Amino acid sequence: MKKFIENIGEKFLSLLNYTGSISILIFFSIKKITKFRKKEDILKYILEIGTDSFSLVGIIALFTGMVLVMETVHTLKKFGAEMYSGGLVTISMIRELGPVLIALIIAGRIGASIAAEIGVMKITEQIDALEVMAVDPVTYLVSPRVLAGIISLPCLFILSFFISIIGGFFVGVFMVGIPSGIYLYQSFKYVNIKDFLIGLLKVIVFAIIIVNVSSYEGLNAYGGAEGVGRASTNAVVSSFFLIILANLIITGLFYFV
Amino acid sequence: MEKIISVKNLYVKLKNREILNDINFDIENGESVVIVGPSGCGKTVLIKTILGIIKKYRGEIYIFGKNVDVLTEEGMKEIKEKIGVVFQNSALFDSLTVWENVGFYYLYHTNKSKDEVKKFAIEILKSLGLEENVADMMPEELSGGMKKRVSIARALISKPQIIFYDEPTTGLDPITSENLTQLIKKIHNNYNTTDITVTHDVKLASRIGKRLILIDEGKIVESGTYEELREKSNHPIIRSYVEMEE
Repeated sequence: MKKFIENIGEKFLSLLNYTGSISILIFFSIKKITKFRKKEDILKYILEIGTDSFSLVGIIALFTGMVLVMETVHTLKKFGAEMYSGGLVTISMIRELGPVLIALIIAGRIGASIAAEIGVMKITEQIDALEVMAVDPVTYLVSPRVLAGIISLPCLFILSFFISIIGGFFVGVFMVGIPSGIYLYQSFKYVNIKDFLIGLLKVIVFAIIIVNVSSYEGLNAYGGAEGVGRASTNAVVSSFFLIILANLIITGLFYFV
Repeated sequence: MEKIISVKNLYVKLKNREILNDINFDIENGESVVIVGPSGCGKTVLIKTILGIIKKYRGEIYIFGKNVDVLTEEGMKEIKEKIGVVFQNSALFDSLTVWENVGFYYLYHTNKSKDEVKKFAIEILKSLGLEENVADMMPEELSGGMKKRVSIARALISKPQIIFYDEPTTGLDPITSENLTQLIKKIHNNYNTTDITVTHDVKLASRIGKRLILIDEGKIVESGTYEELREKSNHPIIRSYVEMEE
């Protein structure tokens, strides 16, 4: 029994330590966000996080829009309300699915790569080399990526929103037979500026989480190739968990409380 | 002689394991000191603690007479400007070309133009026996010996007063290792640097060190010139090399 309680205590302390360390990294990476030396770095990271992820995000948004209409239209038909399926797609995509889907894609695609890249730098003493040259690893490696994430994710969010409408439009109009004008009217009828701004806030928070969690895992990697693999896995798993948690908190704050 | 580095009662504990235990030594300006000891004895931890990479320690470390524990970020930066480090794995930045690696210090900390830094980097690379075309290569295209030379070039670019070498000849073939040993001696003489080398290789230590500090299990066991240790030391790492020499 004593051992059991000790184990729980140990796990709780390590969770507290982890949360504290991530919070400190988030604080410093945002504090130093304007101290980057090279504009090229920001552009390089925007390309990596945003542009290179666009095709994947676009395809998933298109399919999600299509699936949402396919799934809902039969139920709505029973009530003669199939023309509302467009509104359902937009509300789902702008409030919940859009921000969370994009964040999960980016966490899987970019989070793992950030953790691996920084992890290799850590293990091959490149981070130590930065420190002895009086270069702060957070300013050099983390802050520019945070800025690039804050720029890229909202762009992906807006683009994926419109692409999902196209996907839903295709199924709703060409397969279900909803008149195109009605479908589009319903799509935008229920969207308001508050939903859009909260969606934007969510993706910005998720970008900060993904980059910082992944960088933290990379900066704390140890033990060779296995350590880099572990850092990448931890980056993705922790990012997923924190994205869902942050989504719950933001939704709760703006739509429930 | 002016003391350039002083370590007093240094203790380092990592993951609840005591790595360094009551380390005390001074290094004077212009000395070439080799910290020698078997693998895993705490040599690298010692230099990483002196360099401020490992921050959790007990004791006092003075560099250029300043206690590094109480220095501000700016004060530490001033000290780091006068220090060059050659890491065990060379630690070249994978995403940068050779000249960008060598000139990284100037590219990051100054407003010098890229052309100016590149020219300066090429000069240093040439002085270390590397061809000009190496400057535009990526680190992955270089051999182990070339990587070490590039790493030395990177350490030299800020004209340091102190150079740390962490296992400089590890993983190199005997000829490259010999060339590098000569190069380290040449740099010490030409640039009047204070050298602190960490190695398990007693041969290298005997060749470049004017003073050897023998560390085992986190403690300083003996220190003196190679000749002194050769005479009096009973430590297996010294004895086995002496026997091999004989």
